[in-house]
Amino acid sequence: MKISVCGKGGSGKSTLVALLANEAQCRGFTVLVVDSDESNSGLYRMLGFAHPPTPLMELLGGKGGLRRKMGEPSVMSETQIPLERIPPRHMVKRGRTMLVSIGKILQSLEGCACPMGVLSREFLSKVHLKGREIAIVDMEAGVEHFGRGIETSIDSVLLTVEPSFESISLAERVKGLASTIEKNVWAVLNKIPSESLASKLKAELKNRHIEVIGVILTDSEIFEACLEGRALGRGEAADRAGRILDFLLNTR
Amino acid sequence: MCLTTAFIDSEGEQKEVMHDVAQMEARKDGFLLTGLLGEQRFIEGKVKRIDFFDEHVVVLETT
Repeated sequence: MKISVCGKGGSGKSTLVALLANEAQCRGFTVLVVDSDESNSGLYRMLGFAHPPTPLMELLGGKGGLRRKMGEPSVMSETQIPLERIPPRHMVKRGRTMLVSIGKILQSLEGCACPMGVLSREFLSKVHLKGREIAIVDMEAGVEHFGRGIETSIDSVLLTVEPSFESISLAERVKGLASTIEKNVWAVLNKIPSESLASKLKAELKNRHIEVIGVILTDSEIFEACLEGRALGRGEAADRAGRILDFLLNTR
Repeated sequence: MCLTTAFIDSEGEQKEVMHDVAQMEARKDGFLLTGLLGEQRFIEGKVKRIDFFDEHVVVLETT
């Protein structure tokens, strides 16, 4: 099963990805986390890794060396990529959780992220999951990834929604974009201060034909972990993420 | 998307020959297209149109 997590910038995509990955591992899954966000770089910390993996863009020479290395065979030339074929240099692994990163924009005037979008789309379509293996993708903020077709091979799209009008508006756009490619979309409310506000948000999203399958309440433990750049712990938010994962696993 | 999709125009009909084209190199009788992931294809012909706005499309036609 391949799940993508998308939403407005700052709505908690990476946090939800990390929580889901932890819960999937607890349920006995081998988890591939794909960092497909070209900007933010803290996901590896949330997952408890000491350093990020070498980006997959380097397989193609990186953005700088792309022209020189283009055409050389790599794992990306293969039609299917089982998890064990991902080169060790390009992933970090802890327990049954592995993290790969597509690539990051690191320098001014480096140019656009289009090659990373293509690599992300191709990698996700080629990754071959078996039995109890699951992939969770941390998307870039906004909706450009839909334009790039990155969701083509995704089974379910999760949408993080924080309590703001912008976030609700973006959710509506994502729902529309995902529907055109026949993808299931479910919302997860995040950074919610009270159950009454959760009810209000659910009603707003229901009016936009978006079903909410989970609520992550404001959690000081998560805020502190994000502030200090350390792994997320196991608390109420983890339990709630576990129930979201169970829903997705039971509805596929 | 900044990468190109290359089409060939044959008798008024356009057929896609390669997507995610990262490099297009002029050769004596045509163009060598190289995709981002390394696949290559030589198309004999000349360039009919390059569109920098509509998906960065390149249209070739056989000579």
